Amino acid sequence: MLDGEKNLIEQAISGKSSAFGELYDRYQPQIYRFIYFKVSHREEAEDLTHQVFLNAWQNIQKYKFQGYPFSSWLYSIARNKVIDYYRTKKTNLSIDQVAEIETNASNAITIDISIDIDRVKKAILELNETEQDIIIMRFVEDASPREIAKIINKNEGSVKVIQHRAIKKLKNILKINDQ
Amino acid sequence: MTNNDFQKILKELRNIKPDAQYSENSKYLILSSKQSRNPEFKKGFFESIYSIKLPKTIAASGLVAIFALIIIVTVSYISKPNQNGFIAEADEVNSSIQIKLDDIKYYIDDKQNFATSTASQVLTILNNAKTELEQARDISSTDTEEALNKIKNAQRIFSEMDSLLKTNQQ
Repeated sequence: MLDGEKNLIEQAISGKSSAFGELYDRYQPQIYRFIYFKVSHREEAEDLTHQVFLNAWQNIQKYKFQGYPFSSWLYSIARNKVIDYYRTKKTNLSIDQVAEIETNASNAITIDISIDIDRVKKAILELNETEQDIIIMRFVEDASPREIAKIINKNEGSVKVIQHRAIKKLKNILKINDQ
Repeated sequence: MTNNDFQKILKELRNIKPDAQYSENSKYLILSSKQSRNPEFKKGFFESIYSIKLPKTIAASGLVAIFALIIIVTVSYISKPNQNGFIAEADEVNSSIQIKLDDIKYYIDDKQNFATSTASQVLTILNNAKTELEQARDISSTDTEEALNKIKNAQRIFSEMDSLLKTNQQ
């Protein structure tokens, strides 16, 4: 857990909105990214991210410390929101309809990298849901296997196996040489 | 693509960020909402606007509450003792704003669904107008000409919202 986070969470649980505001600032970008990769549509990602944090604020009294970062709880809510989203929306999204990523990357980003980013994003969508979650949380958001295991309700060993399989699939899709 | 490129790209994906204005509006809506003990609270971004509780609110619904605040600011501005000519002109602009606000309120009450992006833009516009009116109020006793310019800016800003909502209705 990040320094000072426990104190912030306690304040948020007691109803202090500014404390939850700090948690929002800390975690909103990564939750947004996680959802954005899953739904591939900026406005939908914004709406779902909003729902995640609204849900979290409304139900913060139910949060209990279990030795995991606050983000684990938020990711769990986010996963459920995405599942609900796909239940009610069209599920067979054509890969061609996937929106291109707009990155706020540095000026050094080249067109080639931009195209590659798009390819990687589309490749991630070809994985199954659990594989997507692990790849995004592990490699984009740097979550630990322990945290990921808690979020997706599997043991650490399974997370590592699925991660390994997912990376192999991605490399196969992208035709990456291990250089 | 090499393995190194692949690793770089995964790191590059971390630079994806949500829109700053959306984030600000979303945070404002969330922190303004009343906490409830209801289990699954599934309101979307726009629906959340209707559960805003503002410090000076006199209405229950969100966007209408913000309108009310703006009306209060406008009315209080007009009430300040000022030169008669200035009051007359400001009063005319104020009437025009009131009519525009009524139109906008009608659109919002009538419309069931707004796109999230529209709601976000509406909030941004409202905040901008509110800023102009508050600044007008603050300087009305020292710089009446500039204060009037600011209230006219607010009038122009409300016209922007009118166009936005009409586009959304199509």
